[in-house]
Amino acid sequence: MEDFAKEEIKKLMGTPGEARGVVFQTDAEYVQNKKGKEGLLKVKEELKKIGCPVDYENIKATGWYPLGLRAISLLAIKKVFDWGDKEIEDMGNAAPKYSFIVKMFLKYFSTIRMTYDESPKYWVKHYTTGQLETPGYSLKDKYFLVRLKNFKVHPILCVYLGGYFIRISQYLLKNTKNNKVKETKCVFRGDPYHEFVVTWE
Amino acid sequence: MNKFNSEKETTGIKLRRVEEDLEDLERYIKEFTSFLPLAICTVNPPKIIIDINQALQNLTGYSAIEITGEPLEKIFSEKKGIDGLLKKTQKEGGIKNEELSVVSKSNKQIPVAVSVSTRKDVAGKFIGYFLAIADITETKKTHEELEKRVRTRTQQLDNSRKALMNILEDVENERKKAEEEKNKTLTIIANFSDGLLVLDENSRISLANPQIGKFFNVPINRIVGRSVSEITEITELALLTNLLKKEIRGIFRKELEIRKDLTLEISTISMSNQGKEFGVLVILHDITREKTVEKIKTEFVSLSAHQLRTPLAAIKWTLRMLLDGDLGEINKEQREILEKSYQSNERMIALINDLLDITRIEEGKYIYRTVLTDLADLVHFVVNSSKDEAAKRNLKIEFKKAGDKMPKIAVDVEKIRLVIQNFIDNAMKYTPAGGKINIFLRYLEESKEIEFSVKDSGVGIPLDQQPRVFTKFFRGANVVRMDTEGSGLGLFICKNIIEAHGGKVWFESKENEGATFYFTLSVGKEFEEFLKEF
Repeated sequence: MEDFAKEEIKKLMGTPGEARGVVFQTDAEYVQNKKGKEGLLKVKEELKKIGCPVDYENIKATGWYPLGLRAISLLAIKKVFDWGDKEIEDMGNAAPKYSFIVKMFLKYFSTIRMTYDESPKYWVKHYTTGQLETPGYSLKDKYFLVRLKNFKVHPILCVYLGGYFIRISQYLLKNTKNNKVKETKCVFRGDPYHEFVVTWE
Repeated sequence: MNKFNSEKETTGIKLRRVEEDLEDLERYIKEFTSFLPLAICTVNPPKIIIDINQALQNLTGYSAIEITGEPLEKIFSEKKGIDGLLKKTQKEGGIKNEELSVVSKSNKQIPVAVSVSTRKDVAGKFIGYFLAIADITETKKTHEELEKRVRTRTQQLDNSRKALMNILEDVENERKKAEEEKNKTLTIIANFSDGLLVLDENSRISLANPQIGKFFNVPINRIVGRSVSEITEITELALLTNLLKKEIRGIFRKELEIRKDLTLEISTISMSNQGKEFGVLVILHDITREKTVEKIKTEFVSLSAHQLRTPLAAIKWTLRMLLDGDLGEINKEQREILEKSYQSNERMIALINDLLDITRIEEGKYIYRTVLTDLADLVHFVVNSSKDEAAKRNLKIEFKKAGDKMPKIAVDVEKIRLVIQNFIDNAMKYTPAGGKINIFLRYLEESKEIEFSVKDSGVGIPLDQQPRVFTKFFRGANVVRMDTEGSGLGLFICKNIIEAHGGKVWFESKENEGATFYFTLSVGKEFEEFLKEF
C-alpha cells in the first residue's frame, strides 16, 4: 500500500478547477456496493487521516468541490482496498450507473452521433477545467476517439476516465463485447493532451 | 466595479438557489422512485437499461448496479419480442399493459403487464423509453384459477351436454324402437282379421282398423276421432253403436248378427294403467263360419234325433205291447229280455230328448213359458216321485224348506222341474247305497232370491275335473267307472235353463265327500216382469 506524500496532497489540493459533487457520490456508492458501509468508513478515515476529510453522505451532487480532492478520493480508495488499475477502471466504468447527473443528461447518450456532438457539454457538467473533444469514430472499424485537453490532475484519473469511456461505448453500442480503452496519448507522458481510443468487437 | 461585483454576487446567489433546487429535485425523485410500488425502467435508444427504481430491483432481484447498462432483453423472457414492442411504442407513441414475462436473477418467470412510452427531449428528439412493469402474478393466478374453473365448469357442462346427448340419443333410439314397435303394432292391427276399435276415456274412437270398415262397409275415417254417440247416425253401425252405448265397461262378450252373412262376437276389455281406466278395447271377431257350422251341426243333430225318435217310439210301443201280453203270453225269460230291451230303448229316447233340448238351446228355440209358481210345491212333487227310486237304491232322501213363507216365482215349470229332477237323479246315481240326500229350499230375503240345493254323500267330483262339470258330454272319471250310463248332457242343459231364467248355478264338492249342487232364481225381478205381463 503506497502512502500519500504530503507534498503530493498539497499539490493536488492546489490544482485549479472543481468537480461536481456527484463524482464523490458515485465513489461512495461504488465502495458501499463493493465493500459495504464499513468499507466507506475506512475510506473516510483514511481521508481524515491525511487531512482531507470528505463527508460523502452530505456531498451535494450539483455542488462544486476541489478538483484535487476528486483525485485524492480515488487514491484513498485505491490505497484502503489495495486496488490496482483494473479496479479503478471498473470503478470508472460503473460510475455512469450511479451518477444522478448522468441520468439527467442521458439524452447525450442516445446515439453515437449525438454523444459525439454533445460530449463537450457533458464534460462541463462535471468539471470546470479541461475540454473534451471527439475527433472521430468508425462503427465499421469499431472505435471512437476521445481527447481531453488542458486537464492535468493525476494519472489515476486517466485510468478512471478510461473505464468511464468504456461505459459510454457500452451505453451506445448494443451487443458489443470486449469493449476496451487505450490511452494513446497522455499529458503525463509528455503528450499535449490525453487521447483515448475505445474499441469493441 | 462595485456594480459588477454586486451583479456577480447576485448571480452567485441565484446559482446556489438553482443548485439547491436541483438537490431538492434529486432528493424528491429518489424518494418518489423508491416509494413507487410500480417497477420503472429507463432505457436509451439502443435499448440499454439506464436506470431502474427500487420496485424493479425488488421484482427482478437485480440491484441497480447489476442491471444498469444491460440490454433490456435481459430481464424479459420474450427476447425477440422486445424489439417489436419498442418499435410499436415508437410508432404509436406508447403502449399499455402488454403481457410479458420478466426473468428474475434467480431465473424465475414473473408475469408482468408492461406499459411503454417514448422519451423526447425539449427539442422533441427521441431519447429513449420509459417502461412501467406491473407484476400481474396474482392477477394471472386469479385469472388462471378462474380460467381453470371455467375450463372445469366447461368440461362439466360439456360432460353434461355429452351425457344429455347420450340420453337424447338413447331416447331417440328408444323413440325409433317405439316407432318401429308402433308401426309393427299398427301393421298387425291393420292386418288383423278381427276388427279392432279403441275408445278413449270419453268414448271417442281413437283407433279403428281397416277390418272395421270391411265389416260395416264404412270408411274408417268416418268414425275415427268421433264419439260413439256421434256415429249413431251411421246406419251401418247402428247395431254396434247401440251395443257400445250400453255396455262398454269391464269385460264383456256378446254375439251380434250384423247381417245374414255376418255374425260378430263383440268383446270389450277395459284398458287401465295403475288403476286408472283410460279406454276400452273392442274386438269384433267374425264368427259367421262357426255359427254356420254350428247351425248345420245342430240341424243335423236335430234332424237325426227327430228321425231316430220315430222308430224308437215304434219300438217302445211294440215292446210295450209284447210285455203287456197283447201279442200273446210270454214266459219269464222272454219278459226279462223284453224288459231290458224296453229300458234300453227308454234310455235311448231320453238321450234323443236331451240332444233335442240342446239343439233347441243352441238354436235359441228353447222357448220358456213362464208361470207364477210355488217352487216348494214343484220340489215336493219331484222329491216324492223320486222316493221309490231312492228306496230301491237304499238311499235316505229328505227335503227341507226354510220358513213358511216362500214367494211365488215366475218360471218355466217344465224346464225347472227338469233341473230339479236332474240334480236329484244325479245325487241318487252317484251316492252309494246307504247314503243320504238332503234337499233344501230357502228364500234369501236380502237378495230376494230362492236358493235350491241338493246335497249328497256320494262320490263327489275330482278337483281337476270340476271346471268342466257344466260342459256338454262331461262325465266324471270316477262316475264313468261306477256307472256306464248317462249322456253327460244333463248339467249342461240345467245350466242353460237356469241362466235363461236369469239365475245362477254352481256346486261344491270334494272327491269321496259328496257334492252339493245349487241354483238361485231371482224372485223380485222375475216376479215384477211377470206381473208386467198382466
